[in-house]
Amino acid sequence: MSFETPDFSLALPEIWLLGAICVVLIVDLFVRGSRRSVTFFLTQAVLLVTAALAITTQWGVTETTFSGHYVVDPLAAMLKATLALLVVLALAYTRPYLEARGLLQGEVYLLALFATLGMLIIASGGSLLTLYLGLEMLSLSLYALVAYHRDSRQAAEAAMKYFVLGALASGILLYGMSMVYGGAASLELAVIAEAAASEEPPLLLLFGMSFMLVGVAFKLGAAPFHAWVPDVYQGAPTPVTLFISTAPKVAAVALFLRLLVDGLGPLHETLQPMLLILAAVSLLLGNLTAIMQTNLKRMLAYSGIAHAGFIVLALAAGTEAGHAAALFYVIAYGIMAAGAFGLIIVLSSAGTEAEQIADYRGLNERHPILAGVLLLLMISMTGIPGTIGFYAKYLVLKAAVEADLIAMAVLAVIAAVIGAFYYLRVLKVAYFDRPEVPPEGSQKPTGPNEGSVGEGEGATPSRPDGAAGTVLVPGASLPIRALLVVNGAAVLVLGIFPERLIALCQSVLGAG
Amino acid sequence: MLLAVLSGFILAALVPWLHPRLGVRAGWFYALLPAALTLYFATFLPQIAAGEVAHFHYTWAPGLGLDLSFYVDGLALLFALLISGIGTFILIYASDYLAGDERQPRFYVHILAFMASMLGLVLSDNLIALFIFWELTSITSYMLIGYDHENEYARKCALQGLIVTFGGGLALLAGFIMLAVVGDSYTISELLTQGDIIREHEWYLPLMLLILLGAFTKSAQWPFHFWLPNAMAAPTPVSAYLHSATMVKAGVYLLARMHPAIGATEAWILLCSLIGAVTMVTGAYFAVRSTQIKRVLAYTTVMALGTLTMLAGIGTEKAMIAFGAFLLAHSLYKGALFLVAGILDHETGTKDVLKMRGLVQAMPITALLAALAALSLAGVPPLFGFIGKEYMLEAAVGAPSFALLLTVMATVAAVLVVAAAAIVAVRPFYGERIETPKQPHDPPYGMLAGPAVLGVLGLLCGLAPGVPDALLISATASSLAGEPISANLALWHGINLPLLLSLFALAAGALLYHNWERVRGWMGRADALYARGPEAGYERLMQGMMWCADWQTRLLQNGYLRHYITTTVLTFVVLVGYTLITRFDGSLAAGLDVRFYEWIVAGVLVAAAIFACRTASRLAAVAAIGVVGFAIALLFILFSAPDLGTTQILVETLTVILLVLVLFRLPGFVSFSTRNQRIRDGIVAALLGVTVTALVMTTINYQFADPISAYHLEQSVPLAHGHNVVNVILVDYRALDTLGEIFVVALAAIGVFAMLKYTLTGESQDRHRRLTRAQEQTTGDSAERAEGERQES
Repeated sequence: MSFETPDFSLALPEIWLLGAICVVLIVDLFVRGSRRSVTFFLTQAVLLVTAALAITTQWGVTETTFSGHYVVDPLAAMLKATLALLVVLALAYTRPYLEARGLLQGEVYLLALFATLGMLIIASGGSLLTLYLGLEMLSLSLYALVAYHRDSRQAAEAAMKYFVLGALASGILLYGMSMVYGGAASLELAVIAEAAASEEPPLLLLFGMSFMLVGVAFKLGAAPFHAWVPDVYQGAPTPVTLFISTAPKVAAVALFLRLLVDGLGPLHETLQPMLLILAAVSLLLGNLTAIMQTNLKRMLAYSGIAHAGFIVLALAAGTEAGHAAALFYVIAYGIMAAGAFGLIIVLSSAGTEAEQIADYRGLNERHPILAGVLLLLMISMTGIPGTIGFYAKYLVLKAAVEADLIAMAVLAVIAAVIGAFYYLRVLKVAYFDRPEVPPEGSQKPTGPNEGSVGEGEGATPSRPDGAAGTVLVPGASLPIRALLVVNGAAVLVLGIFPERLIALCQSVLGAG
Repeated sequence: MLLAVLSGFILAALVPWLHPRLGVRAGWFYALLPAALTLYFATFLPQIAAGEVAHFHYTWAPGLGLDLSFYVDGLALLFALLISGIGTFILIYASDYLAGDERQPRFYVHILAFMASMLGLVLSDNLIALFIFWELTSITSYMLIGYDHENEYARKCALQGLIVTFGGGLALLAGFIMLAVVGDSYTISELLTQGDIIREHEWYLPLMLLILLGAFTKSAQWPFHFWLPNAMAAPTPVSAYLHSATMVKAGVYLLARMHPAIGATEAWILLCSLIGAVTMVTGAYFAVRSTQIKRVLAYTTVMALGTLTMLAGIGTEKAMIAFGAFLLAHSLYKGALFLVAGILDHETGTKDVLKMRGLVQAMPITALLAALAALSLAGVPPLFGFIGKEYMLEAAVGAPSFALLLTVMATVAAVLVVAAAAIVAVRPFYGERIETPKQPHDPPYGMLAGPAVLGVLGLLCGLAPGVPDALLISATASSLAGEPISANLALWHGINLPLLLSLFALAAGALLYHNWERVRGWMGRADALYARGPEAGYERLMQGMMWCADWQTRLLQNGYLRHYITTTVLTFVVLVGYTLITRFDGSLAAGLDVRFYEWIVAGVLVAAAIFACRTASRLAAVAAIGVVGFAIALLFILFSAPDLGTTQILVETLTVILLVLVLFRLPGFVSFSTRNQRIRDGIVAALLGVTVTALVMTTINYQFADPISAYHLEQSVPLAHGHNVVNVILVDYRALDTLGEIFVVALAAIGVFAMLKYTLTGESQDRHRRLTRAQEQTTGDSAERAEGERQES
């Protein structure tokens, strides 16, 4: 066992990020004032530099270092840049909301940075160890972020549930990793892939794979490991929800691609039925449950589960086109989710949380531009052409059909139709319903919103004034609103010119 | 060509800016665009009439197989001309119809965008582009139907129409993808030549069903026909444009377009001709049943769409010609009739035909135009509608299968439609005058222009059928058949069966209208049947979906962490169990030699676990769990892993102490699970236990990689000059790691310092927070207490 000096320069983005985090941590100690401007801008600058470093130093390079634990390939470079940029986008929304609620502290940004570091490590994970490290770094930061609003019962409950279930999933994942190690006698994904490709792959690998799938599905929020999603999405402060629903989802797909494709790809035949079960359950459960929601955040949570179903379906195809479709889908979802939660943030002023769907009645009359953004986001999530969401669904369906999964493709279509119902209902509320309705009319416009909602023990009791219609006043400043509009426009522009992004996703995964 | 298709979008985008600058005549200005487009498309006529086609190609996203390529043949051109031509009059008409409405700009934005989408749909030569435009027509039409959004009914109808057509659209997408995979191309004109390969493929049936589903929902075929009459909540120009001339014909267009590629198989003929015929009769029946003028027209549209579908299904040469002729005729007269209906509504203030009579004195021109269009609808010579119907009957008579059935159904539909035509054009205008909510008179010229031009065109085409034939109908029929067809339309065919049937239909229809009141009475009795029809099915489906959603929300997302864990565990069991069962090779670990004291330890362990589950005291439970942990530590020691055992003991002790410290302050158990809950939890636990045990049993004999301890024992002295292997690993092999750990500890110390500093400086903040919380408590306390009590119980 001779000591090799690893090529540190290959891991420059992570090293830079770690160093910068320490600097931000210390700088934040000396920052005065409630706006945390220095911390905020420093964080954003750090992330932008990280993205730039990932592109400049890692794009086009295919190498491993740290004895195979760390992989650099186009996929890693692309993922890192995407992750960093998504985090920049997510953090850009945070400030006004947190400031208005006295929650604006440096820790938010530090935890987000640590989570980002974890995600970057996952993107470059070349061995089980690296992947697990990255995952735990990400998860622990997220638990803390969810619990960040210490005085909120909801947030505390959500964090508790997230933590317990997350620990369970992590434990199962780790158990699986130990089995895979036992079966392949190596932590390195490349070696594991060789073992898996042998004539008779060790039984332990197969068990390990099912175990690890549980952990990955949990991170992705795919049913039936989705239980945390609605409670966390609803309970966490909205900026945190926004953060969780963007970059970590991409990281989950990265984890899948590394762990179950790079590592155990040869065993796909055994994995596929399990993935199909997950996809089918997620699609149906997510969409059906979302119909019943009256809380927009919770509805988006269930819709997130349904989207996870689509992603899993793409992964189940097992082809390079399928993997590229999943990657594209999750990036598209990140952009859409950022916009949707961003809209909630923008419309939540100091006193109100724009969470109830009924609150959006008549939005078009008062804020036509914001309503326009809502329109774009909702039709994009539905998958109507002209928006990025369409191509996401299209690529997934195409990959599924090409992989001969016709029945699943049809099921996905049915699920998407059910999904259309609740997305378009939000539009109906925002565009066609009256803002203030007299008591006798208040029953009808809510229509499908009614019915009991299976809310958790600590979930919000329905607001007494909900029926009367709260007048939403955009609480955010002009730059944030402009950002939201840009975000909405991105959904449209990428929907009309999707070529570049799709080609990128395909090229990094070697599909076309 | 690209500009021609996209110009509608561009103009739509400019409307909000243009509208205030154009004043009341804005509609006339916007109408210039479709007028120009009509002329542009008309320039293709000579080329198409000569049997050629035109291709245009623009790249968009080649990596996706997505191009903006356009393909102009007879079928596409016929549709394009109808869309832009009728669109011109609709815009002019709307400018008067909607005069004074403040939401006009929004209307124009949507209708222009719709027009552009529709043009894109019929001209696209790329499957995916076609689908994109297809869905764009759905979403823009949704906005148009919901235009009158003060009206709860309109909103509900808009959503219903959208969900039905959008759902069908997605099915279409799946079908298209399969078609593209089978035909190995996304270009429609290429796929059309590969009909034989596609029809032979094993995916043919599913892909055809999916495509038909898309087409049938869009074109309101039975059993999806219900959304179209409901969509009549839209303003009349919208109904005239979308629901007669263009959007609903998209489905029929698709059938015709795809006919050379996927048509003319047994399944196709069966589905299309029968469903088309059923739709035809259903539409005609309800047309006579309705009294609201727009609903009557909507149902005759359903009838016409059914007819077209049937013709596409029959697929003979005659049927192709009939398709083209009937399509053109229908667009002309139905557009005119809708516009007349809009005039009546606008001028009299009611839509109910029972409430208007004798209007001929007040609005003579309208009455004349209505008569012209209705005669065509009824199929009276020499109007073009007659020719369309004649060919339709001829096609039905000559159908290769079900000829008798189809002929009877077509005749029944024809009879009913004659009555419907009379309801629209005779009933409101003649007879004794009754008072209407508004004082009627002929509308402004802008509103008359549309019906006049369309009606006169219908007459001219009928008088000189050679002209539309030479220009378009033959070419359209050829597109359908995939090979050249010469139609030779003529008014007079000699005395034959279709002519007799036609005459019979006219006579019977007149009789039917004469006894309309009585017939409606009879039909009313059959309404109970309708309550079980497809629309009720849709409602029930929606309710069922709601119920299902509600049920599973309660079941799965109830907010209890323990249930979440149960779900996770069960899924885990299923996944692992699946692998276990599919891969099990029958070899359980053989010859486990368990010594008697191991049995004892295991027994203690199990007993402690059971005790922990059953005890009523928290402390006892914790102690029992501690016993479990220590028993495991003992097992480690017995298996000669003292280091592991020591660690386990330390961790266990610490955990127990911590647990006791925390739990000490909590009240004793209050609520226990019921017997059933216990049984359920027990089963879950047992399943997990069995699975893991089985897992261990199957894998225990697995030969792991060679232990690495030998390597360390050999190498620690020569490499690191140390005899203590652990020390060597820590300070030599992994020196860098150790350094890292020290660094981490230092970092943690800084973190602690930061927290301390924050607490010190943040004290004033804290005090502030405490104050506000005290204020909140006065209001929030009772709620919190109630919450607490709920949880306890």
